[in-house]
Amino acid sequence: MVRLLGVSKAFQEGQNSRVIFNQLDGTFGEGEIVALLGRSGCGKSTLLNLIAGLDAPDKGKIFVDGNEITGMTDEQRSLFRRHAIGFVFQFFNLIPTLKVEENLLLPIELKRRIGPEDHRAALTLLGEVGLEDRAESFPDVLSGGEQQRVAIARALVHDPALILADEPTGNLDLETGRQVLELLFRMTRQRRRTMLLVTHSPEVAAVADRVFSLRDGHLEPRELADET
Amino acid sequence: MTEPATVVTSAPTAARLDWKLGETRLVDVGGLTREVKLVALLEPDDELSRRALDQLLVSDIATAQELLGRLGRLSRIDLLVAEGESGDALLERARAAIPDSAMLESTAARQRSTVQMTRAFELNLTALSLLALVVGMFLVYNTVNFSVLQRREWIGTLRLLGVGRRVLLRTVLGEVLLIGLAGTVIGLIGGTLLAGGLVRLVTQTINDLYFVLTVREASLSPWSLLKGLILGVGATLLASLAPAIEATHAPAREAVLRSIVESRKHRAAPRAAAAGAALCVLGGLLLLLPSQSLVLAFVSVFAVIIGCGLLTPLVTMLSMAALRPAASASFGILGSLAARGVVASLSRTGIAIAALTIAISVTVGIGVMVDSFRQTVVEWLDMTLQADVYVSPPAVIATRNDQTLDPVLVERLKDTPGVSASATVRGVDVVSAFGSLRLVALRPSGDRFDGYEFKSGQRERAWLAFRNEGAVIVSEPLAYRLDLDVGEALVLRTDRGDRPFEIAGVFYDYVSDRGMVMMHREQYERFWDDRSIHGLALTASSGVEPDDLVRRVRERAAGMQHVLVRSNRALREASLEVFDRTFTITAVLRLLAVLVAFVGVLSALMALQLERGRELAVLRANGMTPKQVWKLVTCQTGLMGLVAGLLSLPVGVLLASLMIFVINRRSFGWTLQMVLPPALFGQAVLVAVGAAVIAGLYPAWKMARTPPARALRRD
Ligand SMILES: Nc1ncnc2c1ncn2[C@@H]1O[C@H](COP(=O)(O)OP(=O)(O)OP(=O)(O)O)[C@@H](O)[C@H]1O
Ligand SMILES: [Mg+2]
Repeated sequence: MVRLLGVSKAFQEGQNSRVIFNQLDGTFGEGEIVALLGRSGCGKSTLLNLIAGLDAPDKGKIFVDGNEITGMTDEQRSLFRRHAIGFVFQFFNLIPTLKVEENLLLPIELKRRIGPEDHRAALTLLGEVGLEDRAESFPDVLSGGEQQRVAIARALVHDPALILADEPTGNLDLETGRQVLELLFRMTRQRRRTMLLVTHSPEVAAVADRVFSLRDGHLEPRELADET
Repeated sequence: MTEPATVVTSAPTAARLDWKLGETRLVDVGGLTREVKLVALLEPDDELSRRALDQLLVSDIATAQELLGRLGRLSRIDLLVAEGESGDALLERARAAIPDSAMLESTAARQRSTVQMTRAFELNLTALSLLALVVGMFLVYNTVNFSVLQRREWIGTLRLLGVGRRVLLRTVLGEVLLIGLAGTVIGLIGGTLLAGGLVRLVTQTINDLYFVLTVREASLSPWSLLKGLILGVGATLLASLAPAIEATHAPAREAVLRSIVESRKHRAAPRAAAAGAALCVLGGLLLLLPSQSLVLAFVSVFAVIIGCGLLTPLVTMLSMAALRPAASASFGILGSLAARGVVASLSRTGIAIAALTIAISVTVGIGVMVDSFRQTVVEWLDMTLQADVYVSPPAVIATRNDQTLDPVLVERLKDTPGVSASATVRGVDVVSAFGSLRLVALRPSGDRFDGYEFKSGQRERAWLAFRNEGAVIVSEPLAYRLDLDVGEALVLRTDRGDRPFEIAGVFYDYVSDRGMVMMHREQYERFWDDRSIHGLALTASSGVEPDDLVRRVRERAAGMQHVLVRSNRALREASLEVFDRTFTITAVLRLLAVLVAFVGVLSALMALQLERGRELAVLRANGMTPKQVWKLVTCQTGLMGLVAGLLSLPVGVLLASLMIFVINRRSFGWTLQMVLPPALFGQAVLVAVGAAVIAGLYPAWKMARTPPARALRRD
């Protein structure tokens, strides 16, 4: 599903450049839920951004679903993202000027005109995340957990092949976080989608199919049994 | 200088004309060619004398009288009189000694009447520049608002850490002061550069309309620079006070939350609108005061302008709600996002739209005013220019000719074959209780008032009184300014002493805002010794082409006085040319206002771009393409421009009616017909939308180019 070949990325900060990845390789299979662990600042978000094509590597190739996104233009990558990728962030997931349902339908609306069947699908999905009655609300009146549930529904609405979740529960209390995560796992598995999940919690990692740890710019597979 | 035909001039003037000492040159005096010899040069020792002597020829009185054809006449004697009793006694004797046609006047009074002449003109220019300042203040308000909003987290954090409000306010205002100072200094430099060009335009207008003025370069007094500095910095501080206080005095927690700031703005919109409406009503009430005060009229105009500016946020909210379905139908989610985005960032977009509305409505207002004015003048010219050929000496001031025609030439031209009738005019300045007035002695060609439209008084009765009873008619501006009407008497100082003349009518006239008194030539000759003529109008016999007559008249005048012979059409065109030239400066100021508004929209969009970066990144992460970013931003700016453009139409028409019926009336006393040209309105909306969209290009480009990953970081 996702293949990284010799990916290098460095950020320029004034005079000196700061190397994040040097010749990073890695493969995530179809239908897998992969948890990504690592110290703060080791480059987990950067890696997700690279895979989503929101940022470009300095060197190396990235394949998603058989397409080499590193060879695409910004325009092509945007179009690719539209149908292949669903994103959930820690913060700022929803567009404040759009209602819940409009936020949900955003990835489809950017692609084409929506029809009644899209509205029906959106309402069904909202029902799945338990928010069918909030379709007409604006995001700022929802709680943090509710907002994340809308974001999860949106990441799935266009049926993407790959879901990227960057600490989706980092901003929520423990109990709400657990519920949201449980929802995310359940819905991804139901649809047999691939998910790359950044988390700090070994507990969360324990439910993933595979766990990688990002250290010194390399992906290290971790045996679940190693966990303390 | 005691030798005939010798003159002296200043060294700089001679140098510019490349006129060597001892050299004889030809000069044109009212169409007559004379020879003069330069016999000495004056070296001005300071700037003031240099400017006073610029473009001036000095000669012996005898030489001057000969050159100007005014043998035995003096136009002015300057007296230096000692203070105190001896001086007063001397003035008494002087007063007794001078003839009835002359007047004793203090220097101060003379200067006052010169200043008075251009006062309205000056006030109008001042008002226009103040308007630019008002638009500028809207932008400063916007910018400061933005800069404090942008740092609301920073301010909030400092407040949480215990920094006092006073300190924060001082910091913010200190920064504003520095920026205001920098902006003002740049403005002063730009203004000084601009002044060079504007001085030429203004000088031209004054030469056309009032008196001869030679200004070669803009002279900027330190005082006017200081005034600019105070205005610039003061306006900046004033405009930034409200947002600075608001940001630094908000409860510490709230300062952090953007949504609270915006929702407060939304709640403020109706309140601002109410204040705006109240201001407009106040402006209207001010006009009801029975007064001719121009300052009061401008206060009212400004109240209306600022009032309308305050109305814009609410109008924006309402019109975006109205436009959203249409936007969303034609542009899908992007249209919807654009319309909602405008409202969501009302604190930013509202001000930008207000600034753009004001700027565009001012151009609409001035446009309607100038068009109405022009249309009125065109119609008036059609009516008033009845003759076919006009003969006059070359004039230095287009609307006020003081040169005279050679009487022999006048008789000769009247007898040109193909002339069926002729009329003559002579204009002089005469003394009255109201100061110096323009008196025109008219010998009409027919036996009625042809080409005069009366505002007050009955045409036939006025004619009889004018023709047989020695009554005068006065032009509208004069009647307005001096508050005169039919039936009243106007006392003029004639060569036979002060005489009252009955006013038989008030006629429309757009030649000059000073206005004029018109008298029959026979009556004029009864009371004045002057026999000169400065204008001759000839009517062609039927079957004679006016252009042929022009040629014939030119041939007959050849070799005599050099005169301007113009057909009806040429004179009409020349008059309109003067008219158009007069309004060139307003076009410059209009452009300036639009430019300022353009910068306003640009900065508002840059602010939006900075602020909505993260939202845009989320959209990009969900598959928005760079092209769609362009579309979104353009849709948003287009909507903003559309609202500003549409709103500027009613506001512009309102401003135009204020300018036409109040400002113009109080400045010049003219009655103008208002015309509403649809093309102008279409153009205004296009300019508004165009300015907004063009201002959005750079921010759109930046937004489309920014890699989303960066904006997604949570800082
Ligand atoms: N645009 C940028 N310019 C400079 N440095 C950057 C930029 N983006 C990321 N970095 C740096 O790259 C490193 C990796 O950042 P990244 O956000 O990927 O870390 P992370 O593993 O997601 O951390 P966290 O767990 O705290 O979210 C950090 O040290 C960060 O400072
Ligand atoms: Mg991260």
